[in-house]
Amino acid sequence: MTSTAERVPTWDLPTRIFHWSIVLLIPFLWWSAEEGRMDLHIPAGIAMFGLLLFRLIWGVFGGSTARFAVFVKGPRALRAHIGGRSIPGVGHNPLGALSVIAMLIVLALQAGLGLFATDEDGLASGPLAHLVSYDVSEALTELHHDLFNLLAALIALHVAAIIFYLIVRRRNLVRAMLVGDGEAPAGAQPLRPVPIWHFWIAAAVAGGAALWMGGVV
Amino acid sequence: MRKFVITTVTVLALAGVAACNRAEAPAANDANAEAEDNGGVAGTIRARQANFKEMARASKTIGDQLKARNPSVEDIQASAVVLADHAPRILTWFPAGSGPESGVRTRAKAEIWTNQEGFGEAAARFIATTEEFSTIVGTGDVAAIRVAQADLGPSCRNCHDRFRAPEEE
Repeated sequence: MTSTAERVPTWDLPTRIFHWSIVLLIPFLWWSAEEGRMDLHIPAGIAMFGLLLFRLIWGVFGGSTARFAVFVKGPRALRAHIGGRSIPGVGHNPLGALSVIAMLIVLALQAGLGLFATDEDGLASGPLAHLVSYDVSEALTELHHDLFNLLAALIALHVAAIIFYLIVRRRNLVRAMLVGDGEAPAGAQPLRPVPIWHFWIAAAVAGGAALWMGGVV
Repeated sequence: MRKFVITTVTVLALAGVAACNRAEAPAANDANAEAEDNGGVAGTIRARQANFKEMARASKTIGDQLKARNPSVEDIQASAVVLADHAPRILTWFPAGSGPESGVRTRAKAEIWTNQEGFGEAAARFIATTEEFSTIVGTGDVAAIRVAQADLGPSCRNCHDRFRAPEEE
């Protein structure tokens, strides 16, 4: 680590809101499913669907550190990072990017499967479950249930990496996700934010899709 | 290359999940097949599970149709018949010895047999609800069917919540 670390803008507000929303939502989704509270699980799942849609849009039109094209790196950058040969910057490092992409893919699969899922009694079902038979829906529901384990494992890895940085590397990554500014080596390229109207459009599209999916509009 | 990595990770993850599922299924079947040799209890349990599954299918069909722009009253009617036909038979699907003590995998709770009165009342309520639902479906009035359908779920859950154990992990 360089000793001339300074605080620079790292994560934009929409990315932070997305992150902490799902931190609250995932345990709630797990709990409501375990308790069989489909009256809570289904609306919360649709909210998750909307949040994920927002994140995917934000990954294209959002601030630089949220953009897939910026933070997802190829094998060469990954090898350089693991070998300690890369220049530290702000945002996801090449290895962390893989973790983020894996979590987003599994979350998207979870949300997608949930749309077609049905409780075992055929009483409460996802908003698109009527498009498939009971048996198909049941199979997808089982996958939805089992895939949570993979999500939990990826989250555990994510949290373990943050603890590793905190203890071994003496770098608090949580702070940047809370307040937006994070430590970065001098000269590192900080977050390049985007105009606020990007957020309004992304939120309107994602929110509208979630409301439509929930049958509200 | 980036796409390749993502695809590989996803495929491996899905394969892992699929493998877990496959590993679980035969074990459960073997347990039930073995228990069947000890007096046909497994057959009784399997049959009642299949019957409840038919009712779940019927419930989903009713819900699906009521979600559709033009609900098929015929489909709803066919499903209402399944529910009304099965409901009065429920009490016969739980002979003594077909509970958790049988050693066969079942989520039927011992309370079914220790609280026969409560179980009977729950079944009676369900029978009444399915009969009423059938009558209303017979009128073909979708708005009225929608109202009546709201009573079906609670009537099912009334029994499930008390007499069915949660799903195993």
